[in-house]
Amino acid sequence: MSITGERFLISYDAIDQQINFEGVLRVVDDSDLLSIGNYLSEMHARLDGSMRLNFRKMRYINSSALKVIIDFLKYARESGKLNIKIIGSKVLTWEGKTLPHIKSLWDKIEFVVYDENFYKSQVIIEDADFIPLLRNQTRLLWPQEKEILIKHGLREGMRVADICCGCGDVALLIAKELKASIVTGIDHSAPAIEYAVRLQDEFNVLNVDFRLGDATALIMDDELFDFILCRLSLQIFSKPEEILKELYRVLKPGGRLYLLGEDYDLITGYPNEEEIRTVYDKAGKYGVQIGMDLYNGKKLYSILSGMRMSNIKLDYINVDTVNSDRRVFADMIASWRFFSAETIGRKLNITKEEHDALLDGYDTHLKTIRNRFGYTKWTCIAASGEKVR
Amino acid sequence: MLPVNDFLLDTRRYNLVSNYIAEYSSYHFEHKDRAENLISSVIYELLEYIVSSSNGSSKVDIRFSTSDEWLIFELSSKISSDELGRFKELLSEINEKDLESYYRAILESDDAEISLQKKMGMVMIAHDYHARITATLDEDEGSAFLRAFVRREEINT
Repeated sequence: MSITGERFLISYDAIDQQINFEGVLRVVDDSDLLSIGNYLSEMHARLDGSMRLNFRKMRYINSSALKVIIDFLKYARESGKLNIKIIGSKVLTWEGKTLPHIKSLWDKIEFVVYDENFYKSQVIIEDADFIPLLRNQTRLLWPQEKEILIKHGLREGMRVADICCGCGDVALLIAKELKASIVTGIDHSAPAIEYAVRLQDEFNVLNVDFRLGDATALIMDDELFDFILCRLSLQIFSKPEEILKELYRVLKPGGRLYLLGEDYDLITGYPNEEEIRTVYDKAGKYGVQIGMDLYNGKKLYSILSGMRMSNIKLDYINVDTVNSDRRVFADMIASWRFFSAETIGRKLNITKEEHDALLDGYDTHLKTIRNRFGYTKWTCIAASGEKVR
Repeated sequence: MLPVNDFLLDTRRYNLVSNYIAEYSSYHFEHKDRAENLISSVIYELLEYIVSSSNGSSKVDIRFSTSDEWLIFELSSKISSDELGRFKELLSEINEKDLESYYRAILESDDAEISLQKKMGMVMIAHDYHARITATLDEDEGSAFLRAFVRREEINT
């Protein structure tokens, strides 16, 4: 059951007993306002228990439409039949300004900012301190990944999206080196997007559009992009299927979804082989405890198959001390060492012994990297599939 | 200068004009999505208010500018003497009353009159966006020059 206007859709999701508001709810006409009020009242009559009002995809609302919703909430308050939960997003300015005040109407209204702490490692991943690590990862991956993107079908003139683009360097490289017509970069981290915009200015790249956004609720039309990337990101979400559903929606039929994942099982080195394996086994385990799946690379083929994608391609990117700059490799591992032992370790309250063992393990790996006779390898898995026409 | 009648004939133009100004201006801001959303939301309510108060034959002038500290929204139009009186009253309510209680009273009101609906947008802007709203009202000329100041920091908070 739904109600549509020229620029808005209000629909009911039975699974969550949720009314989803989407688009632009700027309504002036009295009969439209009345229809919205009646729709909400009808849904109220049908439901038991709780009712969710989800505004995450509502780009704008005007005061007249807001008044209709307020009047409905007062009606719900008087009847006392349902618990009301209002779900907003921190991405849209109006939601942060206006929705929280609605709670003052009735203390039983629960107000939730959906994308605040919506994945366990968010505070770490979205911190500005994370950016140098992302930059080093790109430095190491890009020389090989550029060729893999071409092999997977990224062509000049395509409309490309990099969802969870981080600090934006890969989106900029795609625009510059692979000549996409336009690249849209979306990330949920404000410091990362600020950094991306600064990089864009610095590189004077005009055909990239960076936006703060929630990958599980993209405010975009369906079937917009020829090629969508989601790199080293699915692993940090506890419900990656919510992102994948959105990526599939905004991908054009015949377009390609490209995923890049890690697999800590594949990190190896020599000398100190055993110590290196031990530290990544531990780090992977701590990752799981904080909601990260650092082994998700091996799952990408199954994910794409499960989405009914066709013509699936899969490649390994082996970054090692032969094909890459040892100093950059060491800088990346030093960042991992810090985040794993200091940031994640402290968050999990690991013991001093565990903390010291983790630091020792990373230090041993760094010794192997810095040893000109040593060898080590970090493997990422790139997989892509085509959306059936 | 846009004919008031255009908005009355097709109310979609409120959205069109607000989004156009917001999108055009947002490139000056670091957080352009948040800036765009704020600018459009504020202009929309101011525009709807001033158009609904204007003479149908008049034209509305809309300006958006910035200073180091402020986002400045300026709208002007010809307004009847009755509407000028209501406008004055609204401004004094916004600027002199306890805004928190006044906003709450409007939210709680069951009054479905058009006058209340008109007020709500302006009060919402003043309350939710901490906008300072002033106006120069010329009764002899029947004109209103409305200005709203929103701090830049509202974009990020």
